[in-house]
Amino acid sequence: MILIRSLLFAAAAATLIQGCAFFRANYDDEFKQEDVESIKIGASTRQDVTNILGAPERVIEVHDKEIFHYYNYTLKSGTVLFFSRTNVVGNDLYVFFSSDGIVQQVVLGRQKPPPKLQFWPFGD
Amino acid sequence: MPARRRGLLILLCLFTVLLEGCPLAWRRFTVNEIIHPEDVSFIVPGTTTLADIVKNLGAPGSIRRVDSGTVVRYQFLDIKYFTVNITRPLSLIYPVLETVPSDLYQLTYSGGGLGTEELQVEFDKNWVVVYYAFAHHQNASRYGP
Repeated sequence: MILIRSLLFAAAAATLIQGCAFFRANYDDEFKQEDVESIKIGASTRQDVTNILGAPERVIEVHDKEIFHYYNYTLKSGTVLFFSRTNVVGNDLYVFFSSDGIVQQVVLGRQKPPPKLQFWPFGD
Repeated sequence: MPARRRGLLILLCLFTVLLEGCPLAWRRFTVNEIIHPEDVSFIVPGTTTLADIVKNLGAPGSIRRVDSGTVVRYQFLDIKYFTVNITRPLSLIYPVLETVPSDLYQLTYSGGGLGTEELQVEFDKNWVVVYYAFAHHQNASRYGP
């Protein structure tokens, strides 16, 4: 009896988890607070910034000044039977330079919370 | 959001959708979270600066130069997709169909939509807010057909 119950339970569990999948992924590393704090406004140069954060993803030119743009993404996805939901959250970091190449401003601000791991695709 | 990044995200979304093989499926893909009007009630044109906005909302998704200053954008993306393969159960009734390539008899209905929400803030050359506005297109995101 116990054997039959165990087999039935195993079969039910195998049926229920069929078609289920959960995964997470990252695009680039999260920003480290100590890296951001080591960029000195009014002193650090473009070379200093790239030594700390690496090459920027993009360089934006605004009114003859350069802005280095860094970003990363975190993805979480869940699939249960017929339902699937994938949430992605991105965080951005901008470093503004003066026209002579010195850091003027570092824009990071509030980091967005990580994405929720969900499978239910309805509602908010 | 730059066009290349948006393209990558849409490709990733399509890849996620195409990977699935259930006869009936509801799929949803979201990027970032919506910023509500009450979240930006602190913004006062002519007074609020970029630093104030970043402190409250985080860094924007994109910065773009315009003649009079700069426009920053915070974007939210929501994709909903529904599909049903009405011929999939036939192979359970007529097992011989397992030997036939499924492309020859399968019939699938599917549909969905992509909706966006966006907060745009324009700054003057001193990084003081000139105006801010929302773009609402979230209703485009719905399950079909």
